[in-house]
This record gives sequence, C-alpha cells and structure tokens, in this order.
Amino acid sequence: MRFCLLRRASVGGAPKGASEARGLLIHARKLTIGRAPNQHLQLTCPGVEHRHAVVMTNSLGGLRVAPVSGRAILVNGRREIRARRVSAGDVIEIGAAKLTVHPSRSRRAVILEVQEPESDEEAVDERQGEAASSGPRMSPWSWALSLGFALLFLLLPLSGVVMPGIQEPLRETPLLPSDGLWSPGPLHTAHQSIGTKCEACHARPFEPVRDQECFVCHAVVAHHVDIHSNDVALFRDEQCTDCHREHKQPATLVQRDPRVCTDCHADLKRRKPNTSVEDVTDFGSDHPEFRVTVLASRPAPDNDEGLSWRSVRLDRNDPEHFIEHSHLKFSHAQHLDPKGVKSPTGERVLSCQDCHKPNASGRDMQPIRMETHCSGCHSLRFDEHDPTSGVPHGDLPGMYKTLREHFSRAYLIQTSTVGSYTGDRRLRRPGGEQRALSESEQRRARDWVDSQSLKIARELLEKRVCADCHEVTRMPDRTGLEQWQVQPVQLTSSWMPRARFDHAAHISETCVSCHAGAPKSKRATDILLPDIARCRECHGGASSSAKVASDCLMCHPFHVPSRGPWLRSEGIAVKADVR
Amino acid sequence: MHQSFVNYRNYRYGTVAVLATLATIAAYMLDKPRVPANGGTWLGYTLGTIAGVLVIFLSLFGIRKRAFHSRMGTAIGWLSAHVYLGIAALIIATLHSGMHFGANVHTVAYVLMCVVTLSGCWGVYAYVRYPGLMTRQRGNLRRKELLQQIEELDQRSLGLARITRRVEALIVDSIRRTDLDDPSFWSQLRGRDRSYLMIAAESASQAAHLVPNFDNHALIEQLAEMRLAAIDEMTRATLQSLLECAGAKAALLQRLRRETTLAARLRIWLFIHVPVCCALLAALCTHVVTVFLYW
Repeated sequence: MRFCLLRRASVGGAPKGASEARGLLIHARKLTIGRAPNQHLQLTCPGVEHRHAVVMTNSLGGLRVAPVSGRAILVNGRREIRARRVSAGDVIEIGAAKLTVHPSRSRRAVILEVQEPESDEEAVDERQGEAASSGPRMSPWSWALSLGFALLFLLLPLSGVVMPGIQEPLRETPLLPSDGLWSPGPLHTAHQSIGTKCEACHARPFEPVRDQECFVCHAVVAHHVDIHSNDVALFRDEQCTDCHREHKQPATLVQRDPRVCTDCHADLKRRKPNTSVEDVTDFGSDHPEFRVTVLASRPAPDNDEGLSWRSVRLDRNDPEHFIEHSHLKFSHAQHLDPKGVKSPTGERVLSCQDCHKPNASGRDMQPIRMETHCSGCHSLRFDEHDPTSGVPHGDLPGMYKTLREHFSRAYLIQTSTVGSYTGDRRLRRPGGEQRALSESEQRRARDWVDSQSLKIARELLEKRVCADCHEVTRMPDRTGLEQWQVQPVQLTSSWMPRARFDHAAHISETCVSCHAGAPKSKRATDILLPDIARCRECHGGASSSAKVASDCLMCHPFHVPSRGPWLRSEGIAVKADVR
Repeated sequence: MHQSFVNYRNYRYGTVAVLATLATIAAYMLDKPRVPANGGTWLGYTLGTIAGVLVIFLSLFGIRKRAFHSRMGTAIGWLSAHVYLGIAALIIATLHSGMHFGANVHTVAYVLMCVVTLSGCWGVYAYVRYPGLMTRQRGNLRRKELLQQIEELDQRSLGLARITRRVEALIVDSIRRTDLDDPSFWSQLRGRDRSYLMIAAESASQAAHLVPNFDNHALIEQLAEMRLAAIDEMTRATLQSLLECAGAKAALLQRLRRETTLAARLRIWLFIHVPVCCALLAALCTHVVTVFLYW
C-alpha cells in the first residue's frame, strides 16, 4: 500500500519559512500514527498518544482508520474508539492534528493531508524536563497486590470457615485456597489421618486447642498418677498441648524437654510432701542411684506354698539388704568357668546366651526354666546308670511316688529272679511270678520299698540332684517325706519396672560390659544389674553432646498404663464441668 | 561532614537498630524453649510483636514523607530510622520465625518482607551512589541546560540545512524523531535510543523509509553520503558543519540518556518496594488473624 502524506504545518522550532506543503511517499501495510519516533506519521501536537492510530485497507480495498492506544479519534467530528471506514473527503482528528483523506486515482494509494498546529514549545520542554521522573503508577499495583493477597489467603479460606458448605470444595479442589494454607507446619505422621480437617482439633476460633478434642480419639490414654489418688489434683491445670505440640518443625509430637518432668520432679516434695520418689534434674548429673525391684517372700500359712511373694525395692546403698532371695542355689562363676563344666557330652564352656535368650522383641530375656535351661546337664536321675530313673521336677510327692514305683518294681523283679532282697530264698518255677504275695510278704516288701525310697529321697534332697540347686530344710520332728521342705523358687523378671530398658538397643555391647559381676558371682543372691555409673559411661544428660543425650522419656514413660485412663480421672471431670 | 540519612545525627538510628538486633539475637540464643524455637513461644510472641509494630512504623514512612508540613520529626530523620529499623525488622522477623518455613501464608508473608527489605537495601545503594554519578555524568549541567544545548544545536542545524529541500527535510525529521521523552519506564531503564529517521527518496515517485537513528548514526550516514556526492565547496562545508552538529548532538543525547537511565534506576526499586510493602501489610494481617483463629 502506498501512503502519500502532505504536510501543511512546520514542526515546533522550525523556521516559519519551512511551513510549505511537503509530500512524502511511504510504502507500508499499515500507516502508523503517533507521537513516538518510530511512527510513520509522527505528530507532536498535544493530545496525541505515542501510538495513537493506524490507517489500513481491508481485503476489499476499503480504507479504515483504527485507534490503537485506547484513546479516541474523531472522524468527521464523531468520536470513534473502534476501527471505522473512511473515504475521500473525511476528516480524521487525532489530538490537535487533522488528517484529510483526499481522493486518489489508484485503489492502492492513499493521499492524506496532514495539518498539525505548532506544538507548544514550553509545554514540550517542561514535559521533557520531567521525563526522567516519570514511571509506572504504583497505587494500582499496591491495591491489587494487597487486596489480592487478602482475598486469596484470608478472605477465601475464611469464607470456608464461616460457611461450612463451601469448606469441602475449597479444601478438595486443587489450586483453590483453603485454610490448609494457614497451617504453620506439618502434622506428625500419627496425626496425618486428620488430613485437612482443621476443626477436628481447632474446634473454637480464637481459642487454644482443648483436651476434649484430643480425648475424642485418645480416650484410653493413661494418667501419670493413680487416677483414684489425690495426686490427680496436681494435674488439674495440665493440658495435652503443654507437652504435645503440633505443626512444629521437625514434626515431633512429644515434647522431650526434661523440664516437662523436672518442673515437678526437681523438688517433688514441694508438691507432694509424703512422696517416696526421689528428686531428679538430669540423668547425667543429678539422678538417684537405681533402686532394684525384686521378688521377696514372706511366710503365709494359708498359702499352699506357705509363702507369698511381693515386689520390694532395694537400695543399692544398703549392701546388706541388696540381695535377691529366690531360694535358688546358683553360682554364675561356676557355670561360666572358662575351663568348662561337666555335661553329658563332656566338658562344655558355657556362655551367657546359653541360658539367657532374648524374647521375640529382643527387649527382654526369656524367663529361666529348669526344663529348658538346666536339665540338659542337670539330670534328675537318682540312679546314674539307669536312664529311666528320672524323678519329676517341682513335685515332691511325685518324686517320692516315682521312687516307690521304682523300688516296688525292683522288689518284684528281684524276688522272681534271684530271690528277694530280704534273703528269703525260694525255688523259682515257671509261672511263679503270677503268685500272689502273702500278707507278711507284702508288709515286708512295703517296708523295704519305703526304706529304700526314703533313703534315696534323703540322698537326693540332702546331698545331690535337688540339693544342687534348691534350698531344702529338714524338720527333725517330722517323719517320712514330710520331714523335708523344698523352698519354692521365684525368679524376678522385671527388675526395674519404672524404667524401660531395651536389650536389643544395646546389642553392640557384650553382656559382661554391663553385668560385670556375673563371671565372679558365686551366690544366687547376688544382684548383677549395673549401677547408674555404668550407664553414665555412655549416657549423658539430656543436653549432653559428648555422650548419648538421654532425656527422661528415654527410660521413663509419662503415661503409665497401670494408673488408669486420664479421661476418667477426677481432674478431667472437674475441668470438663468448668467449661 | 555532610549529613545524609546514613549518618543522620551521628548514626543515631543505626546504633538503635544494631543494639536492638543484638539484644534480640542474644535473647534468641539464651532462650531455651521446650519445643524447637518458633513463633509460638513467649519469646516468639515478643519478637513477633516487635517485628509487627516495626513493619507498621516503617509503612508509616510512606505517609510521613508525603506530609510536607508535618512537624513530627524531620523527613531525613524518618528516612534514617526507616532504613536502619527496616533491616533490623527483617532480622527480628527471622528470629520470630525460628527458621521454620513451609508452603503456607506465614512463609509468604516472610518472603514478602524479604523482598521489601532487599528492594529497600537496593534503594539505599541507589540513593547513596546514583545522585553523585548523575552529577558527574552530566558535568554539573542541569538537565534543562542539557536540553537547551540540544535545542541550540537543533536550531543551528536547521539554519544550516536550508541548502537543499532534501537536507532540510532530513534535518527537520531527525529533530522531530529524536527520542527525548520516551515515556516507557523500561526504555528509560535500559537507556536505549529509540530515535528514528524517515529517509525520503531521491525522487518524489519513490517511497521514503523509516530507519532507526541510534545516536544519530543514520543521519550522519546520510549527511556523509551527501557530502561525498556534493560538488561545490560551499555545500560540502555546510554539510561538514551539519555533521559536526549531528555528532555533538549524539554526544549530548548519550549523556542525557545515561542520566535518564540513572534517574530510572534511582526509582525502579520503589516500584517493587511500595506495592510489595502493601501486600506485606495484608500478609501481616492475615498472618496474625490466622495464627490466633486456629490457635
């Protein structure tokens, strides 16, 4: 397309003589008009935008003028903000400039006469002087950003809180803002099933999370003290969230800071004057010596065993009483003799693991059983050469019965083969075994069997087999089997029930690195548990950096299952009423 | 020594800011909260309150600096406090966060605060560096004087250009199409010369074409060609003078543009600083409301 521009006025600053008409031919698809230097027709008069309008032809050869800056143009005095068809004779006004369309002989040529008033030099200069201080306007951006932020992050999620109907769609639709955006940190994995249901815990706006919301799921969580005791009152002001803080990084559900415990346990007597629990502030520097709980017996005449067992806590600082009285005779030193001990297969060197085997979890040891752990070497035979001569374990009448059966059989066999042990010789005939014994023979036989059985029983109970391991007392005023009493045995299984210890976690250690006294212990009464000093060789206080940092919760649980559910404690009932 | 917002009253607010920052850092280091440090401990709430109040105070600077008749402190004093306390506020807010960040509204607020503070730091750098550069750059001439010199060169060129119609048209067009007031802030910032030149054809039947006239290059090229083609000494001398004018104008335009660029750089940070600060105020409100809504 060819555009022929005819100018009628001079530019500002040009001498007046230069104002005569000048023609300019431009080849272009569109004729651009505006203030900017790169416009085909540059107009510098007032009211002209940098890129104000274009003149173009459509496919049919019709001429059109279109404003491009959003600012209107006038065509024949009419305001136009859209493209408009123009033809010869039409006058287009752009700002203060006038463009007249002249008739053209060619359809491919447009003749435009341009009339531009002289620009106001002062105004231009002033504008140019200010040019450097212009720039994008800030207030629209400021409003847009702040209102946009408030809408996106506050008002939209808040609308879900106020109108539960739209809460779910907001939360479930990706990219829509929901109150999940307000979460300051991740939930612990244990709570992730709550998902995006903030109200599950945050039931009331502008109010801290309450215990009730926790008890919806944790109804059986145990108390720290016996819920039937008055100690419950000490916990009246405690909240679940005092220790269990969510949305923190890293996501730790249990607050392990020792102060959670030492707030009370540093000086427990202040809160509970009659307590037997000793004060503690730090495992590494201020923790009482371990007290060991063992089973102890006391006479109980109405009991079958004549004894009752109860747990007693022993103080290590009182060595005289720091013993376990299980009524067993046992020497660790003898069993762990490096030269070995006698066994059916010859000399055998025993190790700790031969008897002390971990249970399925590895935390604790399986209980010691005679049948499992001892009988391999300690046979209960009263006749070394007769493998059928074993007596039952733990059953004194049963043992005596076995002995009597044995000697009765022996009597009958002897009398039928080489005569009786009593010396009454008779000829043997075929079928003689079938002959019934006479009354005197029976008495004689019984006396003999009884005396033999008692003789062997005495040997077993006082000299070997039973006496090897058991404490047997003999009451001279009684006769027969009743003169002996084997003291019942109870081995302690939970030595420190108030603490948790995991053998599996200490598997890299050897047994004797903690139970150092075992190889030298000659008595079963020795308590072979390590003292606190041994633990402190590896475990330091909660803030220790040189040793394993050990906080209270590493060994002591806060919620003790035997104390009863917290929810049912009176304290909670009171708290619930208040609310 | 010249008193600027940097050394206002012998670094009064700088000292206040440093002391406040050191005090909060010390409190943060000494405090041993039971949970990992976060905005919800007593120190967290304290630091959050301080940072929040500081942000509001810093925003008030936008109002104070427009209130020319205000007697509430001097504008330079306010600016000095704004700069130093602004940096302190970011440090205090960082301690308030306990370095816990995530995909949530609170971290967005913190990021906005970082953007505002960093753009402000850039502004401090610009205010310290560019005014001196600008003065040196324009050789102690004021902008208006530069423009006046250009105007004089233009008049001289027009006077010389009357030798032929074509030369006159060329000079007139080059003056019209000299880029002096590009309104686009980004062009100002880039400092590009967006001048053009409409080069008319030798004969009236041929089409003219529009070419970029960066630093008067196209004009100088045209004039040089004409000078080569000129026959008489007089025309050649005139064209030589016109070439000298074109060269001198190019040099002046360069200085003007460089100054425009520096002036734009002096302000560009503000277009980030102010709108993002408004967003930060919205974010701060959101942060405070939501934290206590779901306590």
